[in-house]
Amino acid sequence: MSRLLRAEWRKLVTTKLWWGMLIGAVAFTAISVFAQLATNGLKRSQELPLGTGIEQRAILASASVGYIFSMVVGIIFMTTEFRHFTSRPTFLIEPRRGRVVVAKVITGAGLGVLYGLVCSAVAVALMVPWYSSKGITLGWASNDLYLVLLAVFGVVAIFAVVGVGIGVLIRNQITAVISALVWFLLLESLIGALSTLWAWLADIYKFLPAAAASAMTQIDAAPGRGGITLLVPWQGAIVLAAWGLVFAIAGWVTLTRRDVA
Amino acid sequence: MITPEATDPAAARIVAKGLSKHFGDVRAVVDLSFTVEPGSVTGFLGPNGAGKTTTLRMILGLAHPDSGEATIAGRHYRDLQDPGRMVGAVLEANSFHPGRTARNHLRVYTAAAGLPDSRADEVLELVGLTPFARKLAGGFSTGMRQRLALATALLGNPRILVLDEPANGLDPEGIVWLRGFLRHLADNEGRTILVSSHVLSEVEQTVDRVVILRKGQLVREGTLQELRSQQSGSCIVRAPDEAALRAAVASLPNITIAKESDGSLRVGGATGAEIGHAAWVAHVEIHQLSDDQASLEGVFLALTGGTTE
Ligand SMILES: Nc1ncnc2c1ncn2[C@@H]1O[C@H](COP(=O)(O)OP(=O)(O)OP(=O)(O)O)[C@@H](O)[C@H]1O
Ligand SMILES: [Mg+2]
Repeated sequence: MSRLLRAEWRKLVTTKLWWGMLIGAVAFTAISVFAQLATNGLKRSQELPLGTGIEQRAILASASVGYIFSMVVGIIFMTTEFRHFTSRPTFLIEPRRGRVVVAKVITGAGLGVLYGLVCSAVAVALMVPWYSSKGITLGWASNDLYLVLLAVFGVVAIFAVVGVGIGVLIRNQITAVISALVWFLLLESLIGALSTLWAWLADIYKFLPAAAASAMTQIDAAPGRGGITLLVPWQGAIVLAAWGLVFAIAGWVTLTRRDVA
Repeated sequence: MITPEATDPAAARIVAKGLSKHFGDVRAVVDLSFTVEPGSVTGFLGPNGAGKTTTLRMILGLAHPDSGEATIAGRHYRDLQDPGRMVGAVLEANSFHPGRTARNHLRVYTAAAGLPDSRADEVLELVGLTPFARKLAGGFSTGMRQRLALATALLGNPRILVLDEPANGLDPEGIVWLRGFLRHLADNEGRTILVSSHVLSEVEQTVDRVVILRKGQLVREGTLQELRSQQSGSCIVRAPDEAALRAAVASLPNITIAKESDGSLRVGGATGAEIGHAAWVAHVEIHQLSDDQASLEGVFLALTGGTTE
């Protein structure tokens, strides 16, 4: 396995993928946090929302949008093998395909950790100077911001594994990326909206991956948007990671049965 | 440079037993059995769509047969101990990431196979790609891609090489180089090589044995010598009175007569002497009688049903 991990590591660092997508993640996270800071700042005259814990947590939590990039990088990292047929030499050297999938998932998790750290760092790097220039204290301990920061890191990191899992399951790169984006940016929100109408749907919804991710950053345990109750953060983390593994295992099973192009 | 380990030579035998595979309605490979002897270069021949690539993929464990099995050294590919050091394969030239350099591409697989990284530079040297080691593979010409694919196959210094149309896209100089290279690997290093092609002449000077495929089925397996002895000659005969000529040679046993585009007749199954004698006996005037030994390629085309498939 250590050979395979070394090989996967080399695959990762020898193309532009990891840093190209990382630049995207940094830019996207920065824009998102900055927009939150700026718009909440406008309301400052009313009730000083920047100072309230609920606002500080929401602003910090917005950094978790970096998940889109860590998910896509995971998908591409996996599907590139099929797109450029490097799956052939890979599976010729290691015909036990499951081991290759495991090495990919582990490497993807490492990539996720990097993306998670960077996205959290971007949020901190923007919020700290912004708040100090306004003379407002960030309640790292008092407002549980540490927990939110940990959640941001966790969401972004775990989504890289989800991405690798999606990539094993859907081997066509374009199809995989588009399906994932459509699901996470559109369909799941739609299900979320509908589940405010039907309680039974809400029970299912909270176990879906994006809802699990929201649960992680939603420290404010009170009934969430539209009265939907999400899981508690640690449950969210487990459910999200489970989704990644379910995709990877389902992909592994189909990969072992199917032919490699 | 590592040399292949000296072990039981039979360990390098490739055996296909009753292999079959279909894709939808297409029966790509039908009950195919053949053996590739250790230490030989075997040409795996057949026209486009004959099922060569599909068969090689089944041998390499990349595709699952519907029935039958393929073994290398008596084992299925997936059960081989360290297959990267035992079997090297070129399936298609484009098995690399265009944004990765040639050297980095190879170093991915030295890592995966547990080989020293210096091996990457050695195989680059071997195939003549050293000057391009740090260039992105995406910018390579077809010939360079073939060489990189071959370099990848050679990484583990395998005793068995499975090459799918390695001459594709090579210029004449490249083809000559490849021939010499494969001969060198077989003669001086005793490797087992299975190399596919859709043109016999391309591998004629390289191979010892041939396995010929048509529509997924085996049509001939044997040495090149055996195939040569199969050449049934034919003669080109020209006579002013075609009908009389036909009547004259019709008495010969097992002959075939076909009209050529230039008006002459191609008579198969008889020697020039036999045809000449028959014509003389029947008092038929003859203007041309020439032996037209079918080339090896002709035999191949006849076996595989011509180029129209
Ligand atoms: N993945 C696939 N899906 C559907 N049909 C396939 C697939 N692979 C091969 N075939 C079909 O199976 C038959 C045999 O194809 P194969 O590629 O093995 O032939 P080949 O001898 O390698 O031909 P060529 O000389 O053109 O490379 C063809 O009719 C081909 O269209
Ligand atoms: Mg082919």
